[in-house]
Amino acid sequence: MQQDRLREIAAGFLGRQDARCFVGWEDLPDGSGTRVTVVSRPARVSRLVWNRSCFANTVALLPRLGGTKGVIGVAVKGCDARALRELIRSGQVDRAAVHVVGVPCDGLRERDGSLARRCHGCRYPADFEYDEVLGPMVTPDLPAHPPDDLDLGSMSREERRAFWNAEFDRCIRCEACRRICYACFCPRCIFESTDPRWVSRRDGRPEKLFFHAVRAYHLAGRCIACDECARVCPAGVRLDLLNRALRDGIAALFGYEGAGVSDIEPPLRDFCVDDPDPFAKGRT
Amino acid sequence: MTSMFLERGLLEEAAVLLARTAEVWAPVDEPGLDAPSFGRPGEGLPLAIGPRLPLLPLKTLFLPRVEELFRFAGGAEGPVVVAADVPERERVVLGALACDIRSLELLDRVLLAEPADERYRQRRERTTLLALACTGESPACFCTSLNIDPLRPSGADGLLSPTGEGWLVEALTGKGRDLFERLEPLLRPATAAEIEAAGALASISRAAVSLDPPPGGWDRVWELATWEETATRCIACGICTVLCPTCHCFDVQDEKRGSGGARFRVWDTCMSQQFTQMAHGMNPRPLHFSRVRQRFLHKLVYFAERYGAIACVGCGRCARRCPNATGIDEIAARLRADLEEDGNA
Amino acid sequence: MSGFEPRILVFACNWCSYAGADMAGVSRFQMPPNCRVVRVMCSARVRPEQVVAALVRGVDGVLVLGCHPGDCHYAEGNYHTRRRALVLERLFDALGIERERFQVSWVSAAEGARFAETIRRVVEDVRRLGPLRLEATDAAG
Repeated sequence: MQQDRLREIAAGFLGRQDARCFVGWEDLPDGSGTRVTVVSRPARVSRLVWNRSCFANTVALLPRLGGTKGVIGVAVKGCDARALRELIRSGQVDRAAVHVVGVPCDGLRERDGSLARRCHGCRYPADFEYDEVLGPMVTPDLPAHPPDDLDLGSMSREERRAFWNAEFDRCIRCEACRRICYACFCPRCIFESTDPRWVSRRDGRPEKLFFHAVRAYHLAGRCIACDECARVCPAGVRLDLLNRALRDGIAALFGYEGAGVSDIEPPLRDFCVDDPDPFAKGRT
Repeated sequence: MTSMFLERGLLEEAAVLLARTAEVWAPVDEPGLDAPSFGRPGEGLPLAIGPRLPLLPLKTLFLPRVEELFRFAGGAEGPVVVAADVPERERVVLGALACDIRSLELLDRVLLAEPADERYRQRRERTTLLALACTGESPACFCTSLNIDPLRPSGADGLLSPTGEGWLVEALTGKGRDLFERLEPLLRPATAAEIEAAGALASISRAAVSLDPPPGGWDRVWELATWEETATRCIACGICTVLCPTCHCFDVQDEKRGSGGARFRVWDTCMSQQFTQMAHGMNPRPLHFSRVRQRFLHKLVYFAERYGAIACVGCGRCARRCPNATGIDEIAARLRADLEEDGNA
Repeated sequence: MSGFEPRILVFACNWCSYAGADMAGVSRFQMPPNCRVVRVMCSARVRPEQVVAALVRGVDGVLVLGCHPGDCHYAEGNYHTRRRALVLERLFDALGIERERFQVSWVSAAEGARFAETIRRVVEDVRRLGPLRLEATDAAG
């Protein structure tokens, strides 16, 4: 059983001199799902689980764990691996300071047993460097699109505008989406700046639009389409649709496969003299 | 005194009747949300009165998330300041649950202590609370552990107890009696069976959760390992502080537009790095770990020491909405376990 | 929309487009008064957040002007501007905000006529779209 193997590996890892802790998943107290957990002692690895409700991104915790000594073990499934690759590439995580345990995933499941919305169209880097694996890490053959889901592309502009108005009206600016996102690791976040204060905490549409538009822009090229933002939102705002739309737009513009899937820089860190230029159209 | 009864089919009419003389608020179902929210019946959203916990707690109606205090503008003879008054309308809340109602009583201890928060006080005075006897929503509920009776909440002006095809209706205060007088045309005497059924209601709220201090008190809790473990997994999103019925910290901000602007207050969160950030650069709680510790010590220890009760109503919102599903009940249990372990070490 | 005067914020880079604006001025080209011009050293200095902030604070359209690609005074600035603008366009698309509210154009120091024409065109584009009414709906009780 993969779960037993994971516990064995974690226990073995924690026995090392330089091991700091092991990040994985544990059952919720009421048994309704799982959550991220950090295990420091070999005796406690029995807490670790691996099943199809392990939604949380273990890798997102790494930049927050701080400290410079020792190695952190981390259980990594496909989408987490995308995050880890991107964090390493952008200098937020030192590859030498993590012990990566690859956990093969064939798609997470919602409570009703159906394939999780976010797992449709999954691509993950099977060529990613794992220190240990529970089995072959191969992208599963999953349907590309969730059935009956919203599609921004098929809405008219006015419909999209109205859609986001309704979504953002429910937003309570708790900013959990920002906190949970692996890519939001800036120690000084623009939304915490008081000088200048870019946007107030007023409940208005302009303020919420600013928050979501700017955060989406900051993620552009770095979003790994894990949909954690949408999962933690208490108001059910479909942030996954916004961030994925930008991700797809960038893929179409620059041929970029998406953060974490390949090892190249996200497009906004670079430029090309031959980039499309609709602005030079000389329409005067 | 005869017990009166409101039939299920007459609920909407009751809301309409009350709306003639007051602003009515009730839980409604909003598309996109998986829980009700407090809204105005009759504005197109269906009423959601029942043992389903609204996403945002009742405090939203008394200490609004964003509240303008005054506007200012440059005038020919100097600045002009216009205060934003609390509307004078009477309000009725239909279908409030025991946990939320208790939270107001806890907030009162802070916000009505001299000098009282005028705006909160006016809202409290002008509002009549009609409670719904709550049979409990989810295993996350533990109001009964905090001496709250979900079926007969103290602090309510009136009570609706679900039974048969409607609700048994009781006035608990003078305000409640006035309210039911207005509803009189829609009420009828309850039958003996209905009265009996109302008396037999049971709630699923857990009574076994303890937030009380362990026998030796909360001494030595400052250094416990629980904080580190909790802080490691806590992402400081602040959802708990937004959704907690007893959290009441707010920030005051000024916003300038051209030659004028406004001052308003907004809910703040102690989980934010900026919560205690001072203008000269110092921050007495610069570490995430210290902020996590502060939040729970405030709720479990400091508030109790100062105001005589733990700042928690057992609604379970924190546990349910936390991205790591960690609620205050779990923290308290771990603290006690740690203290016992230490004590026996 | 009759009677509607759009408010346009224009960022113009010091070396090319702002000089182009000067050129338009001394050549007495007629331009509508709807624009507020902010001089920046390079179009790449303009942060996308500033574009979004302008729009949410009541401006109806934003225009960013820079040197022609290849001629940037700082060699590469406008290549970055170009990429950012392409991404911002996609962001506005996704949000249902009209692309024409955010425009980018390359204007050199000698192109006074082009500056004037760009201003005229953008003002008309945004006038046609109408005001960007984001409807502040305060939930203050």
